[in-house]
Amino acid sequence: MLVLSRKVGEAIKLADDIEITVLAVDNLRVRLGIRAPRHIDVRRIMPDAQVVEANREAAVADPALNNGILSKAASAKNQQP
Amino acid sequence: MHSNLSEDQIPAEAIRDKIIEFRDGLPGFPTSRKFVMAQRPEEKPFVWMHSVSDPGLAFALVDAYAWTKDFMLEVDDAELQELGSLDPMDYAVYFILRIQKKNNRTTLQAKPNAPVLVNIRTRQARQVVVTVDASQEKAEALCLQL
Repeated sequence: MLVLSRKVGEAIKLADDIEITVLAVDNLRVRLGIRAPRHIDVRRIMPDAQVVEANREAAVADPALNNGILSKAASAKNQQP
Repeated sequence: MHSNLSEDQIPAEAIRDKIIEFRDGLPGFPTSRKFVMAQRPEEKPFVWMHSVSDPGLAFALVDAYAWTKDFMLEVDDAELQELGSLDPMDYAVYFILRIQKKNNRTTLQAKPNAPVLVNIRTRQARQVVVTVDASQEKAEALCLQL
């Protein structure tokens, strides 16, 4: 991994046409401005391993097997005080 | 700036059977970005979120406000802006449920610190990670047994 420091307002360039500017920094968060051509797909990498794990546990591989569960859940929920 | 999303929000009917998009992907499922929110009337406030690209993948969700009384969520305005608006009335909020079956018993358990936000106008969605205090976490993780 290449590591470098930038101040707020400074930028780095990737290849010829991608620019990443540091817009603001506070304790926990860095705001980045990204200028890139339309075909460059920019998205967050979600870091929270716990959320990933919880989502995997919650994933239902065969929805047909669970047919009717949510209507049962709804009537159980509605009977709660 | 933060926006508080509270219980006086629009019912999620607006996105029933519609396709919503997680532009950043759903954590753990980076290639599944589009889901259909399927809900039969008798399933309310629960809803199935079916992956469009993977027909074998679905999640059971519940309306966070129906699951937990007095549910409040504080979200960074910048995050809301990316989903299309700052108006709390534009958002439906869900918990993802874990379904477990043991000894003929089914339990549904919510994950309260990682709700899914859906902008019902733009249909842009994101799972956000929020901090919840221990008592809130306990209340919201309550299981429903069937």
